Amino acid sequence: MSKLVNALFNLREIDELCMNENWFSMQKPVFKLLAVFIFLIMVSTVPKYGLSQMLYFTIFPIVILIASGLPVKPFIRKMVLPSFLAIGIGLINPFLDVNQFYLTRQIVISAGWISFFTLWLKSLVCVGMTLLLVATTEIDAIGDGLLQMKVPKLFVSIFVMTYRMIVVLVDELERGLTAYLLRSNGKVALNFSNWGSFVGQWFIRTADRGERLHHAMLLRGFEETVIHETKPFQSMDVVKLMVFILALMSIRILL
Amino acid sequence: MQEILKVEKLSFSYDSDYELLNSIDFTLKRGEKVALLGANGTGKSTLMKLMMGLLTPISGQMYLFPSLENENNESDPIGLQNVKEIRKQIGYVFQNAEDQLFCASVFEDVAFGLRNYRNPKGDKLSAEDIEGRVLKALEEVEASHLMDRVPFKLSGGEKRAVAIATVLSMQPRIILMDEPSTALDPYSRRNLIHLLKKLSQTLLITTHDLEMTLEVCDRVMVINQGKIVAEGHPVEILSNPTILDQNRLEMPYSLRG
Ligand SMILES: Nc1ncnc2c1ncn2[C@@H]1O[C@H](COP(=O)(O)OP(=O)(O)OP(=O)(O)O)[C@@H](O)[C@H]1O
Ligand SMILES: [Mg+2]
Repeated sequence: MSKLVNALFNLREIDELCMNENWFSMQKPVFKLLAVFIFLIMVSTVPKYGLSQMLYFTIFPIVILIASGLPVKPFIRKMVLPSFLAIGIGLINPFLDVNQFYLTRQIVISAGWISFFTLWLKSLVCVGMTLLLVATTEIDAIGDGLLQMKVPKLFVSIFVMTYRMIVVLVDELERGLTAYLLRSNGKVALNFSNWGSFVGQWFIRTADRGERLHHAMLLRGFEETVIHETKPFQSMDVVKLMVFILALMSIRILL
Repeated sequence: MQEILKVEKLSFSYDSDYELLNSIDFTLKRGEKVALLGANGTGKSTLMKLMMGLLTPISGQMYLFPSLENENNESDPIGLQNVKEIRKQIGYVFQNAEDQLFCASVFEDVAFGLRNYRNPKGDKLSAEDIEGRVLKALEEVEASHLMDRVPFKLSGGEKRAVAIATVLSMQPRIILMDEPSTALDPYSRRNLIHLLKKLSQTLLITTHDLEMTLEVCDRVMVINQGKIVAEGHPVEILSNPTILDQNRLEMPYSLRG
């Protein structure tokens, strides 16, 4: 259980990844945010049968992953669960959508399979890009980026706080489970009858610790806003962004 | 010596039928190092949270007297309602260091407060200033080597050192420390004692480490049943059998003849 939780949301591992300096992490947060945002929009507007376009879009996260020098294994591990979820969601497509789809003049397959793979790739690519963004950008920097993009301060600080709360939530869950399992006579899973009190305790402890962390932030001048020095967006960044958008557009329109 | 802080008739309770702190009075003098002793659950941590404006008292007030050479030439004392100024001038090291750290790296954590800092004119600190102050604070607690680590993954003692550095970097005038020596190995505890002796700030320390109290502090206050029940020089208080007995204290070895 604890392992599953870890694999799913090991945000601390992600926090650690943020500290590796690499090509992608050195880009300005606003640039990365905008680029990923535009990428997600482009991908989500790919039509139902746009499998070939999706194949091209898939190249982006893979190239970034390799170019950034991030460790590949933890990344793949994080992608396993979302990919199964996406399979689960998309798998009815081949049964509902029985139109014929001509791959070539000879090879015909059910259109449902095409739309299934398109959907599957879409979700994988979106999750992957978001993970890349989170893994290469410290949460405060993402907050800064949002502020620069004129997102309201209140929203940004809620976002940053929520992120920190998730870290605490997972940490408290781990501790609670460890404490429980150490005293559960060798049982490896949580007894059904203990679930209620366990979950209750978990929320109370998390809320408590979240409050204390919030206090710690208040004591050091945190005023419900994120304040950091930010590097201004320069013409070079605009050029880079333009090139990126152009590349995405050409896939969407030309293919 | 001049007064720097005065607590007057401060009362507080978590639930209405029991007053945990009952009209507490005390003062701190400039540069003084004071220990706040008392049994578990007598409200020492609560008192510190009140002083930081994290809890609101039922009644009473606290006054923080401005320094003589302050930038605004103000002479009016600062009250608890001016939370912002209080938090700028008083630093607080939590009883549980884990609650104090929340950034992705130790460096970032120590820098967090500095990045938020504005001088009275509204200017930020420069990146070099911030880096200089972070490095100095980490050096003071002998934690420079932890700079790039993730705070969550430090040992208990390491977390404590970093938590102290986060407060030192802000250069507050008064530092409140809630049981700073618990969970430290003898070497780290010795370091802490050296550091506390060296600090020029006014210190208020809650602790159950009576040997440290003897070494570091100029004065001791004992809290019991919501009141300060004894106050005086550490040797005098810690060798008084009646006071020791009534407050679950024990005579430190170095005072036993
Ligand atoms: N958030 C809270 N809500 C309700 N009661 C609380 C809360 N925090 C503390 N208390 C109670 O108030 C009393 C004083 O707590 P406090 O933490 O101030 O004690 P302390 O003197 O610091 O003790 P210790 O030496 O163990 O750290 C305790 O009885 C505690 O149970
Ligand atoms: Mg306490």
